[in-house]
Amino acid sequence: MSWPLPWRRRERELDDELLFHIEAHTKDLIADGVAPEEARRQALAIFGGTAPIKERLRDVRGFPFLRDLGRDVRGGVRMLRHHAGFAAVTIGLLALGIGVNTAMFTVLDAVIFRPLPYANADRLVLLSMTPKDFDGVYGMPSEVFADFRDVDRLLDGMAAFTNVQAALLVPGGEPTPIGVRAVTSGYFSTLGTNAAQGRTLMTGDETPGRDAVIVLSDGLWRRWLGSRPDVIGTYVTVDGVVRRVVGVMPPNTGALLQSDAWLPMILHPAVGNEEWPTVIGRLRPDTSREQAAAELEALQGPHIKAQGDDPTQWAASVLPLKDYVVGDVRASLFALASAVGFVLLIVCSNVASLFLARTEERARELAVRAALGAGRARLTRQLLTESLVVSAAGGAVGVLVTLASTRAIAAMAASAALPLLSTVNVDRQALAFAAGLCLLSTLIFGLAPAWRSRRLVGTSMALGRTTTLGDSRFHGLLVIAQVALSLVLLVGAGLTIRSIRNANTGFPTQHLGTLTVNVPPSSYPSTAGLASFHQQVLTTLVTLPGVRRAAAVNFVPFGNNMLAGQFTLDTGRPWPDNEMAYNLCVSDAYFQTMGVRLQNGRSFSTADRPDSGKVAIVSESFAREFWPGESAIGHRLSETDRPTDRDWLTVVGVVDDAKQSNIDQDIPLTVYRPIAQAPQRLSIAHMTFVLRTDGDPHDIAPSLRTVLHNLAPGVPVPAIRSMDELIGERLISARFQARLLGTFALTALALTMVGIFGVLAYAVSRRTRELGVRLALGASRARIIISVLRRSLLLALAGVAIGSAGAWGLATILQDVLFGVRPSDPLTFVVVAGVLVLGAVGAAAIPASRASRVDPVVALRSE
Amino acid sequence: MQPDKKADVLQGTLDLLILKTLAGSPLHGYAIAQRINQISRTLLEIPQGSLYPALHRLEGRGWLDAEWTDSDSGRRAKVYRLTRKGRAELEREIADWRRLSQAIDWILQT
Repeated sequence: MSWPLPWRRRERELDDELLFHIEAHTKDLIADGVAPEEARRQALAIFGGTAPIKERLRDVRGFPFLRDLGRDVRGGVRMLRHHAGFAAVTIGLLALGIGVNTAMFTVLDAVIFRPLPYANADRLVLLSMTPKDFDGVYGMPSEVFADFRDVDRLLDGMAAFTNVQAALLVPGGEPTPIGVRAVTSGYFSTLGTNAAQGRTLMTGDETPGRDAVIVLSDGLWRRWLGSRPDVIGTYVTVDGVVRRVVGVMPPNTGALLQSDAWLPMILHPAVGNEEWPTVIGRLRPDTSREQAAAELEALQGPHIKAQGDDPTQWAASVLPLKDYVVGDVRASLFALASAVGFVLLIVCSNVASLFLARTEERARELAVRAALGAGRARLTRQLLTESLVVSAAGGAVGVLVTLASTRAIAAMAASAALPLLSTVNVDRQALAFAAGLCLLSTLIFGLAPAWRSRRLVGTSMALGRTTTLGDSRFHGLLVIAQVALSLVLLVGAGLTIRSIRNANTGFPTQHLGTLTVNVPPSSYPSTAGLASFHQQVLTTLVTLPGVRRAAAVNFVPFGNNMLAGQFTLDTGRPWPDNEMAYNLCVSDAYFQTMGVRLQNGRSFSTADRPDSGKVAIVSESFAREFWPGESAIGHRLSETDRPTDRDWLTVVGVVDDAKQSNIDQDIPLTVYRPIAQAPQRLSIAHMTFVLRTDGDPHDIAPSLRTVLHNLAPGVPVPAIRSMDELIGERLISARFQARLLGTFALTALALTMVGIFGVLAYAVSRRTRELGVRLALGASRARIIISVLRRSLLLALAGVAIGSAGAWGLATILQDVLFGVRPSDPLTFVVVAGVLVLGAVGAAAIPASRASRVDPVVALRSE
Repeated sequence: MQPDKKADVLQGTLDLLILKTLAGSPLHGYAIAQRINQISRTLLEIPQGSLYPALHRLEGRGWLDAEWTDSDSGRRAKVYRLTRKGRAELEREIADWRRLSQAIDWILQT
């Protein structure tokens, strides 16, 4: 390695100056009659050799800091080269810690810190009508949106959209399920994006009759249309409607454009159960969110009143669009980020104890340097620089880890629909972050050894031995810290995993298929016609081979849509605020098919006709909530506020609770009604058939397609989705989180075991002499093994005790994202603590057996 | 071996002696040591370990200038010369020293 000239020249000048002095002195001594050999010895002796003076001269001259830095870096590199094992382990550990943290930062940066990939994204907002005291994002009824769009002056554009699953049929292909977004014409202009080919949707496309157009995503165009260049103007069939391709969007268009295709949405006056579209807008530069909210609030009032509702119960909310896109991911990403932070801390404490061991081995070298005139500050600086060299190397390798693990995180999240994750990439910012982490970890793991070196320098020479007291206590503290940190991570991961395992739906989900059919109004205009079509489908479905039972429900549990509302009760008790009950229309065999147990009364039957007395079945929690201490059978309830005789529903049965939309909901109050008595056509236009099958529900897809085709040629046949798939989609984020947390926690566990192993192995090697004496004095080998294991066990127990307190604190924070498991879940704590203690004993096994095999004779001779 | 302590005690005095020695003519390090030794009638022995650090420190403060000259032995020698700043410093240090030794005298006489 070569250094810039000025430094080398200075070194040479130092040599010259001192040599001149020595030569001159020697010559004078010879002139005084001293023998030449002796003269030179004396001249040198006065200096005590040139080394110490040079050491001090270096401190006096020029830029000692910069030059020393260069020397120390060189020294650090040399040290690493001579101790390849030490270098490999420390650099590897740091690479892991820094790499994973940088990967996590990259993900956080892409998902949370960076603005949405649209021009002036900070002005994009989500507008919604929201019931007061109710969390969550709604949309608004399309007629409110239409009015709002007509009168608004505060926005630079606004658009409504809904997501639908649809079947795509390209010429010469099989029908494929795709995710489609129906959008109003302003959608693309509001976001400020343009088509890569052709055009986006325009106002004219919203006119009925001229709306059979479609804009394709880049992905769809490549996958299903083979990137054909002349795609504009060709036709594809979506859910049975032939549509002309008018545009193809560019790739990587951001979360809001993540859809396979876009269709025009036609706003029509809504009746009853219509799904509310989501509404986005772009604020004018001079408009605040509050102003827009005030405008919307003023406008929505009359609409709410017209629906017979109280406008004061509703608020208008205008939120930054970013919040909507990022959603719940924020909390879970921060949880993961702190998890990897813990991993880095464990890495640092591991590296610190390795460095500490190295420093103590080098006590003699350091003491000699101190004696030669190097100041204590100088030695501290040297050790810190060596630490920095190690962490810089670790950081460099860590970037490779980042590249690999960012890809792995993105892959794990690929199915998790984590918004914006597609935009993740390791950039300059991430590299700067990694560099920052290098410095930070150097401070964390480098300071302890540097600080200890000061005491070593003071004592070692005097003692003449390299052993110092107190070091084992310091190593012990590091191990305790590692165990505690691992415990927190393992408990966090354990609770998350348990909570997913515990996710109980209230009905068996295996071999349960769902098939959602959207019947166009043109096919079956009347409620009765539609009901009989459903009946026909049902009777045919049960005849299919492999199908045991079949039933229908208008809003299937864990489907995309749900209908919930408030009811009037016969007891006159007012409906509680902030409470909604699911309101479902089901066919006769629904409960048997789903496996929801009938507790009391009867199920629906063919006797429940449109003209017979209106009936309902309620869930157990509903019955308990509103008619506590008595049978719900015979009680009445109504959907309307002031029910007439015809509006009352009589409860004929009570069923077990079953989850409806979220696996983590507590008590899903639910009211079921027979399809035959559905209040209006719209409540059953959207119907899902549920099938209990012998095997994988997907197996019956081909025969199902034939059946539906024969029954209703105009109705598109959607794909069969198993209940597990539907639930899986809801749990994807939680699973993603659990998988990552689990990975990090296992990494932490492994690191901790390595740490314990390292500390004990080092301690044993340091105690070789003592162990030898004890063996020579007749201590049994078993006793020695036990003494090593006991130390490990005590450290682990201390760590477990401290970590438990931390984990309990963490779990209370996690409470909101956990379901079906208490934060103080004893099983998790006991298992995790057990694993850690076992791990500690396991890690101690090799050092313990090594200690027992110490040869007393060799041990006593060492030193 | 504790060179630090000794140097601390001598530091102020050593600087003064070096500056004074160089007030006459430019000298190299060895000659400075010799000269102090001679003039003090060998009562003062310059601690060799402290001389060069002191020279470099004074040079760093701008009180001394140094240049390399060829000596008769063929090895280059580094010759130090008092700068104007160094001369001012010498005046100040002499005054300080006089005051200090006067004070010590008074104390010793009581």
